Amino acid sequence: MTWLAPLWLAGFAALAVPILIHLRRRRLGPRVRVGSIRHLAGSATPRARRLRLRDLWLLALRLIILALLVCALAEPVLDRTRPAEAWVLVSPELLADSAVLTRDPLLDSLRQHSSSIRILEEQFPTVSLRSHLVTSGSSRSLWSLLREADTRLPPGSTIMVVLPRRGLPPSGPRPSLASRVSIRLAGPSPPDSSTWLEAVWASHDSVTLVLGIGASGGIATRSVTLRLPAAGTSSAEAAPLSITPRGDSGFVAVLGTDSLSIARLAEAHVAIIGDSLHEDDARYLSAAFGATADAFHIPLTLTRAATGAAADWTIWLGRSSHDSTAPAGVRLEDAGGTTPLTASMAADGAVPLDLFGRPLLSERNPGRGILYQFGGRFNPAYGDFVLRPEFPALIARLWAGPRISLSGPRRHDVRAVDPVQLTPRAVSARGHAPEPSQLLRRLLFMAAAVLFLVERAMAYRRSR
Amino acid sequence: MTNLANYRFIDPRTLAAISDLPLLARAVVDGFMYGAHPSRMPGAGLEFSQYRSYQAGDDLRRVDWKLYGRSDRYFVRESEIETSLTLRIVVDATGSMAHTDTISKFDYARFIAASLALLAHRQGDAIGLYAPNAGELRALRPGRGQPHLHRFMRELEVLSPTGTWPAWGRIEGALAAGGNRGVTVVLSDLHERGDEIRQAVSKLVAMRHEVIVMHLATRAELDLSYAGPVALEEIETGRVVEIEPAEEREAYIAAVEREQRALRDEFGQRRVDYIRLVIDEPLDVALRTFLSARRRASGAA
Repeated sequence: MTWLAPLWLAGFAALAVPILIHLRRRRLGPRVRVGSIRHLAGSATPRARRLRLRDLWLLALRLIILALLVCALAEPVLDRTRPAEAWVLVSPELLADSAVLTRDPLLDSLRQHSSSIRILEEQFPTVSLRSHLVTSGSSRSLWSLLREADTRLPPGSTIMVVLPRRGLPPSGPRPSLASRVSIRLAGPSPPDSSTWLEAVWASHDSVTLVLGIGASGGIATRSVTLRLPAAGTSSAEAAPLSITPRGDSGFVAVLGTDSLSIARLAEAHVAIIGDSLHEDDARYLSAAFGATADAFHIPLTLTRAATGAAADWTIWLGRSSHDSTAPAGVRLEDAGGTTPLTASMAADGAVPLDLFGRPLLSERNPGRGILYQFGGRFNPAYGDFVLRPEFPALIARLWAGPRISLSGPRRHDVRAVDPVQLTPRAVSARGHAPEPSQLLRRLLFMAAAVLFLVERAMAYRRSR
Repeated sequence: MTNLANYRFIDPRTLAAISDLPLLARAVVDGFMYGAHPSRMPGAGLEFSQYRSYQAGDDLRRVDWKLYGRSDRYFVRESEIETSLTLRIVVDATGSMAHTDTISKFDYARFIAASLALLAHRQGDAIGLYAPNAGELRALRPGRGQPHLHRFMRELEVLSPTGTWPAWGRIEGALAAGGNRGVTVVLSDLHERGDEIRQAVSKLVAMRHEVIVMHLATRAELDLSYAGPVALEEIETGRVVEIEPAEEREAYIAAVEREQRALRDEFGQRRVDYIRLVIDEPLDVALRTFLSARRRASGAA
């Protein structure tokens, strides 16, 4: 309980007044010398005791009335919040290696001085660092887990998060939390650099591998083109890269522990259907398809038409493809219209999103072919998506299908992230202020009033 | 002429109220009072009875000097005198009598004693004073004459109430001495630890005294008329009880009345005259009422 006007609590000193009055009046009246008390001595003592007891009840009643008044004037407030807690959340990756637990100073300190810590995963189970365990890990992002932890803790709590140094920065928007969060890094430092297979593109006789190279300064890509090996044989021209056969007609590119299946990209005929109002749209689309073809050495035929045409890809600008009698293939429609569109990429960088987080690209299988529908226009006058590097990457992805991974870099990102950048904003440590309880104040006043009436009645009876 | 102004406990108003009333014995045993109790015992008196030879110790005033002039011998005159009663006044001088309500019960008793003594002195009765005090009995044996009255009054003045009523064994001898039966007036508040006062009364009755008990009480003793809480301290024992009079009054009055009835019954059975006097009532009225009643009763007897 807290008090909004605590100065009134000094009024408890006034409780001494009725006590002093009671003590002063304990000697009942004057002393009179009389001849005999024989008619009173038989039961006088119990009666006198009753008299004193009744006075004690009156005294207690008066003290309670004064105490209730003082409490009411001090404006008590019931604070229902729990006391603040302190959590230590350790990334499950750090708990999988016992060597890390003993070598890292922070983890070793936690192991020796803390009886239990919590794992940074669903439900935040507690574990003793003295007996490490391999956990299943969590697919949820750091911010999501912290948001959940914050809701479980009372305001003013503190959370210390221990993340591996060798790790990817958390994705998604940084939340505002009521708890005070500090992020510490532990475990081995990331390597100076790492290389991974980003994407693999194959043409009729060669394969182009896009390598991702991560270093502390950033991430870069490099393309390596290799000849496809003869059927049934492997190629190791650019060791440690290698291409090995898989299945009847497929190959697999291997780099260390990374492996990607290779699919041949055949020559494609792309037809763009649009009127004169969509000239710019057609031009940007043509550029995106042309860049993809050039990057991966894929023969491409681009045509412009006013109506439906037979092609591997038909792109309908400003109109629906439903009425087309053209053969089924891959169709791409835009939303048409003139509404500006602001797009962003999803967390994995694969799908564009509108301001409300809704995907701008949808895929349907209407019975014949594949239909992609884009929620905007491919014209920078109506949205800047076509100016972003994600646009040609999206076109390439759609063209090549799911065989191309465009979300790989994150797990190989070795850039060091300053923990300061990870610290989420904290709202007021208090979280919320207790609401003044007018009801409690009124109840105290009413109780004092009722007891006062009782006291007056008792005092009147006593004086008679 | 007696100078009453010298006596502290003679109240002129009281005397004026009772001076015309005789202190009569209910039953005239030995005779009649001065003018009222004739006696056959020869001795000093008003009417000549006979002469006898002077003997050592006789009162020289009774020597007939005329006869000596004629005979050269000493002869004493004897008269037919009235036999007066002996009035013994027992004034309770124990501690409880110090209870004061504008006037203490003891002072009130002394006023009564002085008035009765003077009345008896005027009647030619012998007066004696007995004061149970501090566990003993202070006694002034019955006597007559002005000097004795003076001694009576002085003894009355020097008394101070203290202590408790002595056991009968300690006072029997003094009260029984004097020989003459007579009237014994007991002035007391009848506060006793056991029954020592009532025992003394019954013993006096057995000794064929005519006993009058004047029960003195204060108004507060009868109805607990105290305003507000009070602590009552018993004088003789020092015990203290703190009470709320309003709470105790009803039961207290009932107990007092029960005791009153019991006393009346007990004294009535022993043919003891009993009267309760509240000391806030005028003494003259109280005594006059009492003496008038006795005269009527005596006349009827």
